[in-house]
Amino acid sequence: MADNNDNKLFFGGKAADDFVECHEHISPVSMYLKVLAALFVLTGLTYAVSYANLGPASLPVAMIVATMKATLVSAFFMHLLYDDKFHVFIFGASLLFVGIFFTFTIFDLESRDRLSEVQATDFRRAEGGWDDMGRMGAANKTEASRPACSDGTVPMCDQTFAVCNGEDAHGGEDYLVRRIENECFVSEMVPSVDHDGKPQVDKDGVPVMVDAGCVLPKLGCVNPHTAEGHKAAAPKPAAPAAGKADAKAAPKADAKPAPKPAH
Amino acid sequence: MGDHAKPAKNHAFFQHHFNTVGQQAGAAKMGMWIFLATEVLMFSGLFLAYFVVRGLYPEMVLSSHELLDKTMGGINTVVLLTSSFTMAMAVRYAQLGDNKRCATQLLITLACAFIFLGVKYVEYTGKFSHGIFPGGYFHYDEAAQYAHSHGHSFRGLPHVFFGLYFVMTGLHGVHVLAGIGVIVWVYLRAKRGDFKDGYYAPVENVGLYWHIVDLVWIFLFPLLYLVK
Repeated sequence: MADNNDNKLFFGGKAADDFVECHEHISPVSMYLKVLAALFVLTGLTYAVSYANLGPASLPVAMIVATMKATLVSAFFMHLLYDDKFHVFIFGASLLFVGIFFTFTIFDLESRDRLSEVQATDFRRAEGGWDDMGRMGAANKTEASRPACSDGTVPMCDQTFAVCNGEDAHGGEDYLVRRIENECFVSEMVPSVDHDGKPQVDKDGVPVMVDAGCVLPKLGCVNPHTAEGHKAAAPKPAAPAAGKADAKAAPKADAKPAPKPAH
Repeated sequence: MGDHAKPAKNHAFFQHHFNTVGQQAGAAKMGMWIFLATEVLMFSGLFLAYFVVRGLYPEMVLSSHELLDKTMGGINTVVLLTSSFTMAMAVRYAQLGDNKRCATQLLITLACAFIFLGVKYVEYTGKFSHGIFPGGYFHYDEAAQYAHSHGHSFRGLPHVFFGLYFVMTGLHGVHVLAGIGVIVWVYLRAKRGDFKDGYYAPVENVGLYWHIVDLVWIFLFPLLYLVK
């Protein structure tokens, strides 16, 4: 190979002009020191700002300062400013996909709430705090709270259906609450009722059914084979007018269960 | 020393399957950047989890984060930024073929990494001693008592926030540990005098890795410790 060809890459016998090569750039020490100083100043700034009560503006401010710091580090310490633009492209592509990932997930979360509203289903989170959580977990996790069972029955969630009245009533039908408690989740179709407790019918006179699962964290002895005492026919909702008043007064989780039909 | 060492046509570590030393270095660096992109994507999942939890339970996040020590987090930020600076300096000396100064800068970087982990150890054990454990090991009553003694009270489910805290800082800590490993490797090579004649790709790529660890912390610090 001739001397003048030593630094060339060949494709099909022809010299390729631009193959990926590393072009080094040696920055002066003073520049690194300036960048470090700027990073310290910005760190001090976020630290100081965290004590000022900025309210809802604090998150954007903190993120802007962090982004400025990240830009300094990547441009100067990581040499992206002088580097092959392809490396900027790789880094930028990862950030682009992070953006897509964030946008679509947040969009999904936002629109999910609206869907639940349209369905008149309130997927309530354990907003009651630790007590709520403790009550949910304790029944299943604490041995002491399990009832002593015999005759082949095991402690299981005693699933009782009830219409739980939330704070809002939409469109004349009961606002149904679906809860996941005690690791039991039940979804059952029940007749919808209006504010006066009268069953709702559609324009053809067919009763309107709504999806209602309200699981109360109550443990009982259940035969796992026959599920006796476990799976009853969908009960009639408890007197809704009274239930609504109760639900408003009492904590939501304590909404009255429907009386279980006799077996 | 001090003179800009011109890249030799073939340095001692030139591999035959590359056309030029520049191509060899470029290939290594491109591989490193692709790896860094996967790192960004991995951490983005945790950051998104943070934003989702924060969006759903703002009061829980804001009341729980008060228990994190801003000053400790701030010290660690300064330590990590300093280590990023010394790492950049190590790369610079490796570019110049000055193995001795490169090794010194790497040693300072290592010291910073150990200080960072030391501060994290103090923070973690401080949390553990008050019942603040990750996930299901969280002792609510003990932690709530600790919060009250500091004039705070939990709202909602603080173990969710601390779960995020432990996983995010824990994964970052694992990266710091891995960073210590690779910095020791390039330190030993610098001691051996490997980096000369334009060969410094290992230092540069370890440097890139170390800077991305720094970048992650730059976002973790305000989100977990500072933001109200």
